[in-house]
Amino acid sequence: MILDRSFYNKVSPLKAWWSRRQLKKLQSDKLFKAFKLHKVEWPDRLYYYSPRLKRVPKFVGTKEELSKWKDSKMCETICPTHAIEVTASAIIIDDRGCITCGLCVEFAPAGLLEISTDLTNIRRS
Amino acid sequence: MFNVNEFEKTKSILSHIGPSFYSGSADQHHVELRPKDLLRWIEFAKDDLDYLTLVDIVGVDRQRSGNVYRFELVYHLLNMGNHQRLNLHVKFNEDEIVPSVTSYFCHADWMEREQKEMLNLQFDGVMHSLLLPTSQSNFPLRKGVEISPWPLDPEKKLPLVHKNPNKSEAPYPEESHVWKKFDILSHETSGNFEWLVCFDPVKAVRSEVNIGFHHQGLEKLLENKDWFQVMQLVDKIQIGAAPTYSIAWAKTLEDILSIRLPERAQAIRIVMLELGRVAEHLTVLFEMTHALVLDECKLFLNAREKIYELFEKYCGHRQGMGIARLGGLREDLPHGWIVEYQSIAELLKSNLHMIHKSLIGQKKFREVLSLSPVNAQTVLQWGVSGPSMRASGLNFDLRKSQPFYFYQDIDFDIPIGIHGSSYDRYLVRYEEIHQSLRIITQVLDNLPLGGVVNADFDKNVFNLKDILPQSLPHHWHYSGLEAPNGEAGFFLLSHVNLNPYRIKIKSPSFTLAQALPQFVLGLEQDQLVATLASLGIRRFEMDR
Repeated sequence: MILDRSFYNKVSPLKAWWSRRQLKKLQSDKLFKAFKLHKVEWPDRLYYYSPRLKRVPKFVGTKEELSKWKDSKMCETICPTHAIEVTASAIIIDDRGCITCGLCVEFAPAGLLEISTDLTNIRRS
Repeated sequence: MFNVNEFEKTKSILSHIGPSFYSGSADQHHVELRPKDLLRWIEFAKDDLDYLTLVDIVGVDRQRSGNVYRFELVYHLLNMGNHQRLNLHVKFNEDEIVPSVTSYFCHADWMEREQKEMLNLQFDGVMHSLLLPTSQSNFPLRKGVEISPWPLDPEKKLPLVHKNPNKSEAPYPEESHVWKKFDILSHETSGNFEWLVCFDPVKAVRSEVNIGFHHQGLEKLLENKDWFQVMQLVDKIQIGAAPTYSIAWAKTLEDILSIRLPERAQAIRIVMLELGRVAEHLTVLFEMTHALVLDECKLFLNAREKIYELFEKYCGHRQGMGIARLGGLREDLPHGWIVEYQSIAELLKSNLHMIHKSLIGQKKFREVLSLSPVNAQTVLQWGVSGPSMRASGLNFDLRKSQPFYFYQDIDFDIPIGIHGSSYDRYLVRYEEIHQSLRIITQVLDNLPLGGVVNADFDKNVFNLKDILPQSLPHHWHYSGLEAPNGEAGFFLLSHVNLNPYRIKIKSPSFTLAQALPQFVLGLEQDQLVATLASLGIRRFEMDR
């Protein structure tokens, strides 16, 4: 059950919560019975952290810089929890693993990564 | 203070007795032995050389390095009088039996059981399982073995008392005695361990502690990690005072490689260690007052929140995680942090004084907490360290005895209790908060200028192997520091590459949990929790 972060940003939180609740009702009543899907519970469900509790690295460079970045494997190997993955188009972070140690920021070229409260690049494999 | 002449004296004694191998450096002696000589040496060290404390026992499987003997056990002893440390390296093969030293040190019991389970060693004497289930068949710390998941149907890990409650036998000396079980879900143990207490119907006569519910396999996990990665993962061992363990690990590496720290980094490390100590002490004081249902407990939490705000402004994390780096720190103090600290420190001092006055004035607080005094002999016997030891009147603090960084230039006192009751532990912790604030103020007043990272490590972390010496020292190293609840440190056996061959975390909570039954004798059920809270047992320190 992966929720859409951008959806929450656009709509006001109260409204989002309401529509989310409606959807949940629908799912629990019909979808889950009809297709025999199993619900995904914690810890596989995405959780919206307060910015005070969770910060993750964010890519702040341009796309050219990302494609030129040769030793991006270094970032992945140094990560103590294997939470970061660098692809050709973006960087992906697993929020279950990331402990905000900031090693990837240090091992990347200066100005490419930054620790921030923006959680839009979170994915779970 | 450490004296070189005394060290040389002990060195000459030890090397003339005739062990197969002797070496001495810094403040540590290393002696190699065979299992048959162990008891003779332990007796000699304890009776004649005054090594009264067994700090830890570390076992290692040296299969890969091609030694004659496959296993090695290191008995790390401490002499509190002249601050020297003795390592007895016992080397043996798989089929040999190691004598148990529990007749000399009571608290060696858990340490031996832990090593036995992790490496499948043979000690003489019957030993029940401590951490792993009894049906465990693979031994995690052996080389070439992976940690298996928890078995599906483990045999119930309960002591024999519960399986066969025969009232005429030894555990039930009288008919009136009642055993009560506080399991891991009860609020008394706050989810840390299982606790069986025997009440002579009102007062506690005897108790047993069962640990092993919070497995992480941390020591095995860290063997596959880099030095840098270890520094980040180690933070969470004690979340209340997070900088403690990462700085201890950085200190271990810097001692081995003899890396010089910039003065500013040393000063800021002292500040962070002391802030962590204040936060942890405030947590313990909160737990004590909360257990006694006093209204002051929330005020301690509010005070701790101020410390966490300071951490957050420095590094982004509320508990101050991930600040240490090899050869320095991650970043300098931000602009305006010192002024912020000064305003918070003044607030803290005045507010804590008011809370303290109102607590001491209450008859209930004084009487309940001073019920079960523990004398210095018991504390020494069970290897307890830190404020719990100092409350019984023993004067030993690593900040004074083996001063690291700037601690020898700073003016501060070590508070010491008299009776060793929970009330004394409260007073010691309360006074240590004030002493820590005093230390931080002195350091920040004379903060040295310069960078916070050693110049060699500043930007070229990539080619680290060029900086490090060609052959890393392939021997044991221990370095520790004074954590909030006792002595914390790391045993490290380094290897050719950057992965450690064997790490052992020395944590105060392991020995504190073992000594817990001594602290609660003669207490009623309502008063158990306050005594337990005053020790400061933390779950991830306690379990492996």
